Amino acid sequence: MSDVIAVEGVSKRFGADAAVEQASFEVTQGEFFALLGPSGCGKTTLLRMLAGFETPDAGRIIIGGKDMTGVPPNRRPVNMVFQSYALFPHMTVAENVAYGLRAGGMNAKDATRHATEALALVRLEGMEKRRPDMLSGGQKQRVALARALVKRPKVLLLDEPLSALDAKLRETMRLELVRLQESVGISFVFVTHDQDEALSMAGRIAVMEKGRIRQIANPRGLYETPNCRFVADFIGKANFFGGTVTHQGSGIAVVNCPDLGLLTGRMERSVSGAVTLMVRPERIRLSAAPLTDDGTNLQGRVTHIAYYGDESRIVIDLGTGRTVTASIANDGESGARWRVDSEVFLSWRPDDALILTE
Amino acid sequence: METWRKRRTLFLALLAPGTLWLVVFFTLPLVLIALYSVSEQGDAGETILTLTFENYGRAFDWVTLGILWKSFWIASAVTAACLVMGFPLALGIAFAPRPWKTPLLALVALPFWTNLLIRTYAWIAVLRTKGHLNNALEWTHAKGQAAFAALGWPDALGPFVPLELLYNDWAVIIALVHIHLPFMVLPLYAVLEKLDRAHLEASLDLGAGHGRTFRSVIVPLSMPGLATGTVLVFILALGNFVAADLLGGSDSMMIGNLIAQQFGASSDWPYGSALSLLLLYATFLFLWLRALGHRRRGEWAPA
Repeated sequence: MSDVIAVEGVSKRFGADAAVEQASFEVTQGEFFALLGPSGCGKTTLLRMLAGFETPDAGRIIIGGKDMTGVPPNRRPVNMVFQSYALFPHMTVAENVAYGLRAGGMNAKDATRHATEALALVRLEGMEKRRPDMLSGGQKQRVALARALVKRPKVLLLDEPLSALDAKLRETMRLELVRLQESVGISFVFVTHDQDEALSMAGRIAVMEKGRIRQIANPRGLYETPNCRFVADFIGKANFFGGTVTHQGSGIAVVNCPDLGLLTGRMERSVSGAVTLMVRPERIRLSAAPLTDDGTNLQGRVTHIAYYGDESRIVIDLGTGRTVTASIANDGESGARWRVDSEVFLSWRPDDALILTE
Repeated sequence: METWRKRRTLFLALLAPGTLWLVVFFTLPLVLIALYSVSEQGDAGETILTLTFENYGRAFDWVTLGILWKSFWIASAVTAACLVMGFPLALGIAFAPRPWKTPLLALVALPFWTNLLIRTYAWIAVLRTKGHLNNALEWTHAKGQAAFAALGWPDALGPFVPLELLYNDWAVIIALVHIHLPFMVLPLYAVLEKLDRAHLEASLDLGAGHGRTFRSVIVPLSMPGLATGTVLVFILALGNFVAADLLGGSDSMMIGNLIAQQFGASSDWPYGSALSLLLLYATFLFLWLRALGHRRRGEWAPA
């Protein structure tokens, strides 16, 4: 019994709109789990159902081995960090953190002691007497974390916890959240629309689209082996080529793309008929002369170069009205080789492209 | 505001009508009352400015203090009743589904559409010995009597004795609560409507039940509205004289009635002016206490 959360076929409708459809997943003890998707995909609704603020129309949620159907939010072994933090403005930092303990019947002295410890855990020593409106965004975030963690929940729920912070602070808080999660050993379920956040923090990620979970995998799995075009497109950048399968064997398939000819890519399982071939920009090799290995070789002309500092993205017109984006590391050698209007050969090894069936 | 100050002529032109109105119809009469309050009545009933404080001294006799005391406790009872009834009402409206809010608010404000006197008179029709309430009781009594008679106990309930509901302090309190309830509900609704629902969810999430959430989160966060409503109702109830006049008993005189009497039947304007000013000072005292409470709670309090 290492699953702290089991979500079994949960659905939720708001009026005529399906917010969550047939969602199922498990979260194991001590796991950092992310729910990732564009706004309106149902990830927050799913989180609010875990917290008990929304009731599933179908399916059930099991937390710590107990069916949570009909259990109100105040009786669930989970605590939440709200997007707006929702700190009580009329209480001091210490009172905010002690609130949950006092509500649970702990005496004032012990509650204060635990609150002080929890504040030390999030590095807010000496802030006990302040009011929330005297804190910076990052400090409020830490108080919200301390207030939830001090309850020692089985699972900590976080609703877009970093979205209200500025970019620099967000980077720091990512590392800090991971450190905190490892030190307390509590499972985190984390809702975000930011793929970088999910990839850099979570152990496993569930990608959602229009109320459905499309794929659950670790960050590398999601990026390198997405199971559908939506996930491939949502996580990172990707080039897509539609076509029909002509040959397949030993994990490799040949796809006939109407305007480009035969392209090769790896397949996760046997494929046939209409498919989509996906290549990540950094997997495309650019060269001045065609490469003679067994991969896919194409030719085109550079139309645009976008400089990002660590890398450059090069847009190449394949001459058929189709463009491909390749990215090259600005490592001092390859970075400055291409100019707009350069003729360029591009290629990829079969293993660097993936055949998608959805 | 800055740009307004730069355009001086326009600023003054817009400021003038309001200022003039307040000076002519508020400040000047107040000064007149202040002058009356330190005057004496001559033998022919004329008012002579003698700068005496005797009128204020007269207010501190036992009868007047008794009336003042009664006014304060009636106003307090009215305020408490408005608070107890108004808070759940405001909470209910603030948490009602969106399309319901405006109609419900309109219902709360509806009594304002009826004249104050008529609203007060209406209570006579309800509360008098042959009023609606007693009629309803009598009807119930008759039905009960008939039911017991059918069971073989004729006259088990005894003869019907109508309740004496009118012409006492309770009738005054009931009418004042009816008149002033919207003044409690509307400011409370204004703050409850703006209350961040995430605070309530956070409280529940942290293990607090609905009772604790109400006590520890909703009530403290609605303090600004609570204070405004309380002060409004208390001051308005304290100054009201129509309810005591129409519905009160012979001993139900409130400070408002006493003042009205001085300007009317007794035509003792100096004494009436002194009483008015004393009531004004008492009102200021309450506003000051409210402001004090506000400052103590810190900066977070909206408005």
